[in-house]
Amino acid sequence: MGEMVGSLLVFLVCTFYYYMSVELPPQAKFFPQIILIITGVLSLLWFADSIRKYAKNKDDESKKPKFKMPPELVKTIVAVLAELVLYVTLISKLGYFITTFLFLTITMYTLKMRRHVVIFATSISVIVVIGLVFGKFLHIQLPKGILF
Amino acid sequence: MLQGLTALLNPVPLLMIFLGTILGISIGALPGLTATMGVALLVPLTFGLSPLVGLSLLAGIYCGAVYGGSISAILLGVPGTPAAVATMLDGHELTKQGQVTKALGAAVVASAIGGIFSSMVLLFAAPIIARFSLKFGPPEMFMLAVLGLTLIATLSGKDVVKGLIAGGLGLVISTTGIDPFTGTLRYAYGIPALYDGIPLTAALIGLFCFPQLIGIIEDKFKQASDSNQDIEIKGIAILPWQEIKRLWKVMLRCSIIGTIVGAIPGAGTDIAAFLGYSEAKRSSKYPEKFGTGIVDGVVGPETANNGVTGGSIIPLITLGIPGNAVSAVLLGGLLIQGLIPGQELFTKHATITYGFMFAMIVANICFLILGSTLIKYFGYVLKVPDSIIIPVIASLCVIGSYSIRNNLLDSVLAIILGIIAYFGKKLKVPMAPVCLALILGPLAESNLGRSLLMAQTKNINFFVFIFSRPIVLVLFAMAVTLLVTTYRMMKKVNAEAVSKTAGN
Repeated sequence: MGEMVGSLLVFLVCTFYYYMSVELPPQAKFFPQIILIITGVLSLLWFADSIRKYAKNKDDESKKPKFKMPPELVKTIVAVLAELVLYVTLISKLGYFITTFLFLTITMYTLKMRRHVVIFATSISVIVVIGLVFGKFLHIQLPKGILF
Repeated sequence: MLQGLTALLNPVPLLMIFLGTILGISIGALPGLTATMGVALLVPLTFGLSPLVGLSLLAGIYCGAVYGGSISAILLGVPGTPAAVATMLDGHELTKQGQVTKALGAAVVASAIGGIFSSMVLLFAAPIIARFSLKFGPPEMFMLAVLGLTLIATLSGKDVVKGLIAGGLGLVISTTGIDPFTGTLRYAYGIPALYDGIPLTAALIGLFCFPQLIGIIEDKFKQASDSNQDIEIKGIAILPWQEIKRLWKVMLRCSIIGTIVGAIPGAGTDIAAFLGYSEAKRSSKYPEKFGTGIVDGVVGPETANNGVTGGSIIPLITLGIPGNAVSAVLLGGLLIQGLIPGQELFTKHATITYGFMFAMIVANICFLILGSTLIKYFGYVLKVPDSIIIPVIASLCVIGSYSIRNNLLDSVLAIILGIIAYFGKKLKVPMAPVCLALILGPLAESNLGRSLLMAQTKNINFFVFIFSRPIVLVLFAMAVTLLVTTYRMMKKVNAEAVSKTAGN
């Protein structure tokens, strides 16, 4: 089932990109359109193949692909991804130092690290090392916020 | 030449090579930081140093960084540089099987052999190779990109259709931004950060690092333990002599590939690494084992990508044409020392030029010693609990992708691509073809456009025009051979699978 959805999504992406390229000048659309047609046809082949596989394995439980994950694992993955999105969103407002500290400590906690001293010491040392390497040594301006 | 060697064999240049190599390895191992960035940041520092001392430092950084990318790729499945993606395919599998020492040993020895080979070629045959590399015009570059794209079939594993789809999507993503010919914006959706296209490093971080981190969370749940403490790492990491004897032909071929690719302006370590992987697989007696954790899969790309280091310097010092981005930055390093590429470098400044070439060799020996003896310390990374590794690497990935253009949108792009890649991985869509297509897409498109224009101005049919060039024909023959070999190989693998099923 997942393969069918995946192949259809690829086909839709190809169709959307093709539609977006229709009004481009001929020279600019030549290369992407060729690639999009080939990829679109291939996605239909994949779709046909996934239907064939689905029909073949319909009655055979052992051959069905298993995507089932324990709810706790799904929760953890979603939580870490949410923390990552929040990290990128807040870094331009609160700055690198505060946001990275918050991200590291909260994510470590989400991943079941319960040794508070380890969490604190790791977060501080990582921030200092990354800050020194990127900010001082490589002269890359790290995102600044309200305090730093 | 001997004067160059004598000048180099002094404490200060040797210390600079040592420091440069350590810096280079660290830069290469960090996701998002590349050899180009490392050399670019250190070039201004060399202004205050004597020419040979400054160039020794840069040689150390360059060689160290190209090797360093393999360390994080092997240990964590997080490639430090685009070239390390090819190494990761088998290197990280070996780590998962508890064979870290073997994988890191193979990477460091192969890298050193590739690097020393290309530096020797640089030392003895620079002018000849430079003349050959100049014969690469747009049609040859286009065919080189086509040859590279045929590797998608090799990298696709058992499911070629999914590999081709991944490659196709990579090529489409690579067309984002301003079209090189008409200046028209494509797929930018009014977002200024997309006008220059999607940065390769940010895409790479997204495609490989984030899915890998989610993968570690999944493994953590399956194993119910928080680290890989059962993996024991001790002694020094070195490829055993028997393995070197078994793989010397592959290493030689991949070194030649790396050196030639390095000397061709516009091609770089990433293309060389994929060509090296493909060559190792093509010439192997057991190609079906590639991707499952095999030393040959580490040796091929590592020899080839370090082979680029010496090769890229060849057109730089002989003709003033940089072979890739790092050597373009190195050109700046030469110019601020008053060293102008060309004949003068081999006459008036011969001591410095040959000293620099020897410095490249010494840098390779230096990382061979450092890489094989410091394995215990690299290995500590594996003993760190996953609950610490995951947030730290995630934070590094965000900062790494941001640092390329000082733009947080690149980090957002990396995360979005990472989530897509995670679901792609679940559907067994290989990600290496996406990376290859992102590298080769712009090269293929721009050179196809230029070739079409050349054929048009000469009023010749496009196909007649490109196939009348000998190098194009050779590259085309190589691409066809590669496709036929891959097809035969897959047929053999499928037949074996069918017979095994029938046997059961």
